Amino acid sequence: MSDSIEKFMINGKVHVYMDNPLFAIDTKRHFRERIDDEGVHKFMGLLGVCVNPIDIDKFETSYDSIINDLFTQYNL
Amino acid sequence: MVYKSYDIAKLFKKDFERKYKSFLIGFSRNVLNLDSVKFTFFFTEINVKHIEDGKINIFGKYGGPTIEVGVEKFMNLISGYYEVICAWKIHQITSIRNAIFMVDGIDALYPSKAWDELIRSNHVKIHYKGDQINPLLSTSDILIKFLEQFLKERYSPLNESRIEKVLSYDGKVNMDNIFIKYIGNPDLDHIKPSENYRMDFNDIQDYIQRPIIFVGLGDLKGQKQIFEELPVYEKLLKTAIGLNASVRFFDPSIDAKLIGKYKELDYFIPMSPRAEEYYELIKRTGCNVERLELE
Repeated sequence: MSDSIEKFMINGKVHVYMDNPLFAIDTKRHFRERIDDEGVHKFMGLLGVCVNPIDIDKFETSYDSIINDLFTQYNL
Repeated sequence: MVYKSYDIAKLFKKDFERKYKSFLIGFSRNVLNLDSVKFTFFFTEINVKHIEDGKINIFGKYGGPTIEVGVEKFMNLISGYYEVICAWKIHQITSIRNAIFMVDGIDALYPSKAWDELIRSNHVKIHYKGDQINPLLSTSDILIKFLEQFLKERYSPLNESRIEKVLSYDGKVNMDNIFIKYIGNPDLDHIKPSENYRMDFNDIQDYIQRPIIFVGLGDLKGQKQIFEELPVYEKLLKTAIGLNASVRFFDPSIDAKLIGKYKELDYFIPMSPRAEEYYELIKRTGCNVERLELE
């Protein structure tokens, strides 16, 4: 069993919000190349992330605060 | 407002690359350190050495014919519904039930064992334009952009330790709430398309986030891109945030199967005389749709 799965289970599986655990998922293709004596080797992988907040309202407050701070910092 | 990674990239003008990367790092470090959120990152690469003849058998449900495809074609196929595969993996690891899995517009969903198992005991919600409307989907979009951006900076095999190195950012991110999972060869039977059939709106209507705000433009090419740069688009997104709605640009050849076909009301914003005609036609056919004015 990998470390990640152990942590996942030990930490109490997932956050549950209002009786329904909530997850937001996005994914992306990931391309990379390796060049050796035999030529160029191309690889395609897939990446995904799943965000699981314990409290959606608290999360949205944190999101606004992080975005606003960064927009101020970068003069956007 | 809610931003997707592409919107943020457009805001940087001078010294774009350095500042944009720095923004992605700043956002990701802050979000990943929130102790009230758990994050699971997934990665998939298929190891050809462990597959007979380097080919994967797909389709074949209900005794239908199977076909063999190479890894590249297989990866392209599953990339169209990789969100479903990630959600199924969460379900498989945790045996979770009644969870809501929000995804941002799936456009090439094939039937699979993963889909069947996922929807049996959980709820999938497809949000169109979700990464510009929903802060959770926006966060997923920015995080995955951050990870991909930093992984591609140098050649390195895609594995758990490489991903952990990017995410932990030299120990500045607490990894206690972050999990990394491989999906690949052992999961092929679940993740492969089980039927040679791309699911359409008739199949997925129950999984779409409603209401949907349809924006009717005209028939000119490039209108969508122009519209997205106008102040009215920001108004539209604010309205969608308020309604927790999905947003779609109305394409009669695709959306006729979707608009006003559900018990929950849909909205239509006609932005041209042609779109007005479509709206009148749709209304006359009894679809459950109302005109929406942007304040």
